[in-house]
Amino acid sequence: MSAAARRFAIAASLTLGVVVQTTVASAAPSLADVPLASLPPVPTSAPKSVPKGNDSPLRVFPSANGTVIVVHKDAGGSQQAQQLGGNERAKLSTTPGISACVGWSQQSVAAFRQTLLYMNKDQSVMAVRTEVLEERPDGASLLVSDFWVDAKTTGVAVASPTVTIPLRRVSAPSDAAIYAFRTEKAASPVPAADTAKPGEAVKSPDKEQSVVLVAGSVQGGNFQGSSGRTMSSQCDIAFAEIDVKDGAGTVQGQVNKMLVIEETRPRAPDTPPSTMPFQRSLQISASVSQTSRDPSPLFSISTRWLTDLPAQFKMQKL
Amino acid sequence: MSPMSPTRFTGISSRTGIALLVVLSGSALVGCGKAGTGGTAAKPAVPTQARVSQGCARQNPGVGAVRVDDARVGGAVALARLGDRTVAYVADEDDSVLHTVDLGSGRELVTTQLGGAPSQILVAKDGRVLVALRDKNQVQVLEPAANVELPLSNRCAIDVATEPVALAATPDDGAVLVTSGWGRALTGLDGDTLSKKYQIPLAREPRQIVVSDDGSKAFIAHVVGSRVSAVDLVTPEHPVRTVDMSGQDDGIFRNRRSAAKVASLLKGAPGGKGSQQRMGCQSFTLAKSIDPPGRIFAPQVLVDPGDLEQQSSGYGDGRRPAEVASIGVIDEGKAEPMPASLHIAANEAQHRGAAKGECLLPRASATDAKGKSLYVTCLGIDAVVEYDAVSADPRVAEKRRWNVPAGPTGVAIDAQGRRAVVWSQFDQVVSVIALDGEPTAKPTLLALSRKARSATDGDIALGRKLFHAASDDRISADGRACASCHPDGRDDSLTWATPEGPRNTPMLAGRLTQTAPYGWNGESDEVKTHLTHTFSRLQGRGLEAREVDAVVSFVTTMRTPVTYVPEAGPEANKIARGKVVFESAETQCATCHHADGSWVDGEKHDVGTRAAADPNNQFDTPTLRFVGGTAPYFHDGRYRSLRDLLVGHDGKMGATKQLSPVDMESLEAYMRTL
Repeated sequence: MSAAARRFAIAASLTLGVVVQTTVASAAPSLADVPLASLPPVPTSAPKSVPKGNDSPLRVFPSANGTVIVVHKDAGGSQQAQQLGGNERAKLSTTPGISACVGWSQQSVAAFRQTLLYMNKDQSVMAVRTEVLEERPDGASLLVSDFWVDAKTTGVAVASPTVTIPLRRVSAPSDAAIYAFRTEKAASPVPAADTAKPGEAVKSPDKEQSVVLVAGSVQGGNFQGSSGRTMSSQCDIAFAEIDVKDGAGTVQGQVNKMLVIEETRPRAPDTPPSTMPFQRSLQISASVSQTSRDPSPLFSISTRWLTDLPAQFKMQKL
Repeated sequence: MSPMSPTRFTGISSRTGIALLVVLSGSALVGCGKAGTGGTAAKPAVPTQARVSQGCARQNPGVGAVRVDDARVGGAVALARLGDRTVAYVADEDDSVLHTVDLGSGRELVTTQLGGAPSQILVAKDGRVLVALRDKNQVQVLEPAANVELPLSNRCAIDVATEPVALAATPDDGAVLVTSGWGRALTGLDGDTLSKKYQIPLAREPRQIVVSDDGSKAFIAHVVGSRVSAVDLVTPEHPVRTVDMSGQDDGIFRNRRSAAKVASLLKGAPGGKGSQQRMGCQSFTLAKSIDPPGRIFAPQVLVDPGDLEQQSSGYGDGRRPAEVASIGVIDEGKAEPMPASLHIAANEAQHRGAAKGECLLPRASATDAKGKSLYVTCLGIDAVVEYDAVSADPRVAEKRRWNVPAGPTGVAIDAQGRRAVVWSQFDQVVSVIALDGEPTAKPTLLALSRKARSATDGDIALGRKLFHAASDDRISADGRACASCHPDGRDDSLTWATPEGPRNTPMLAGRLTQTAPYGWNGESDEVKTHLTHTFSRLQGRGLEAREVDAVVSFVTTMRTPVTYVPEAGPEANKIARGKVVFESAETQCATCHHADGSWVDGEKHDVGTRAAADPNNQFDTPTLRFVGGTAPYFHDGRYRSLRDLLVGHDGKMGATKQLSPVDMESLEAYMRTL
């Protein structure tokens, strides 16, 4: 991370839970069922400066050590508290069903890796990408936006229009929501038909595919892919990417899911159940595979809670 | 089906002694126990010579229970249905009986006495029940009665190669396949008459069979050797292709010389490719996916025995786990493993949920199409683990697990009843797991009847559990069990890095009596001392004295292969000639390997085999009991076959390489009978 990039700070919180497996889910759609999306290119040609204004989903705060903290207005509550301190928390809103990430928290996901590398000459204005996960009863979307953020003025300007990426829920309906989209790019060139040896099948040009898993309402995530690549998320959304090579790839890891749990003890009539927030570790394993008998690659995901709920509590509907 | 030819049985286990005497007296095979207890009636269905001559066909076709869900793979549990009743047939190896259990009422209905210790059951298309009797080298054929509460009646017994361990039927039911563990063979029987059609040789320790959907290939697991065999069932010669089940571990780094040494020692093994390879082991079971089709699962462990050029601090070099649970996925159409299922990333442990006890001793498996799940029973941690059957690497896609009583050796799926039926041999309990139940729901347990004097009582029972105890820090720090290196009490066919240099794992079963001292350098005068030393080497906390005694009781009475030796004919003549060669002054074999049944002299010798990492050049004379089935040979596993040893050694240990081809062959044939 460059010195300039370090001027932006996003706090991380990753708490590993006690390992007690309790539940399960799995689903296996065809990979073709996972929507294909094109990510917007990262912005270029940074302005020299951005005047301070008010009309932005980003909040930019100078910090004590001369850096700035960039927070999305919809970022989760506990993270804000760590970043901003108790007094600042009230300035920001948390919208139900919305999870947001800012900056380089997801930089290890290849699709977003270049986010912070474009900046103006004196490195005071940087491109900041935000991802906002909108979860609705009828589906979910990932909204990707780019902004210019001026570390000197704390001004924010839109760099490019928001791109909406459709997501497919890939986890079972009864379990924690995990969504996915896929990306593809042209793979290395393959030999032309006239260079193939006699009897050798001529492959059609393949595309390198990857599948990006998206989980909201989390406090950090930690993954490793079969390619050896490690991925970590340190915000409300966890991203994990499966690099599909030779028709197969895996990713595994865990996220700390923020839940609301509800007391199950008998209570007086008309008394609402008491609830409390609870962090629960969720193990996620996903893969893409194809045998000679599968007409197309299959996508698979399984999840497993690693932490038990407190006695006499249950999860509210996910 | 033919009557047995004159034979001399070998096998020294005290547990098989009574049965052997019966055979040698010329009587028919007689059940070796009395009726089961617990309110069920055990009636003998013993294969007799008279019944063999009557043939294996059903006497009352069309009556009795039939198989469930067209299951054509054998197991220690097999399901059958009669009307709306679903029953489980359970193979009880300790009591040599077949239990019939009504899954609806949870009641044991009856036991049927068998002619020997059953390993697997297969329900044929017409309801006949085939049972592989591993200690009798036969497949017993039973017929169900119209009333499922009555014992099954015996139809016949079919002679097969030594130690039948697994059964399967082809998709058209045209053939029944039998694998023989010690006999290293696949026997094909006619699906109707059960007459023998062919027998083909296999690599060491074959086990579970599954047949491809098109019936063209049989896939066969091997406990050792990092392989699955793919047998062509169409071509008359039935050629066998090896499917390499070794894994790739990105976290193992060794210098080039060490890598070359490892590759050299593994030469000829399918996985001998280099230092980052892990060898497949413990592959007792296979399961075929139904939906999606075309996937065959091979639960196993991937082993890194360490850097054989170095002296290590334990068994393996300790930098990475010596054994990692694995589920190889084989592409049925291509008969090749999917690489992702055999790959271990460099630092994956950091990204997995902390291990609750890995499945290091998988023994049985089955799939459920509706849930797209694979179920694996695990000895040692006494659990059934459910994996995602669509995953490219099911090992890292665990969905649920259930604790079950000790010794789960069989599982069958009742797709219609949405339940898994698990047999725990050590505790003799059936567990019924609701597949669609709450994730935290516990299995329903059904304790089955047991004989008053079981083959495995008291200390031996305790010793057996301890021998298989995985994830027990009294035994080892990294979860390994005794059975990890000694599956079925035998050997893993591997050479390990140890503080004394490279050490080839020895077979234990049948080899510990009168063969002191123990250890390749003869460092322990007693088995107990050597066990304690081994636990220490594995960084285990150690067992209490009584527990060590129990393990000693078990390991000195473990079931051994029961082979038979022809007493007349060309093979018998060859063996007799081999005995002469063995005891001759020319070869001097018997000078150190005394022909008193121990095949040792209790001494240490320098036979010029010191390896680079060996601090010592004196090696204890190893016993030759069961030597024919324990390749590779020498303390560092340098010889991959008996012939390699006899031809390749330089003469400091007897003189055999100059023998004529006939004498060489005879000597080898004789040694295989020891």
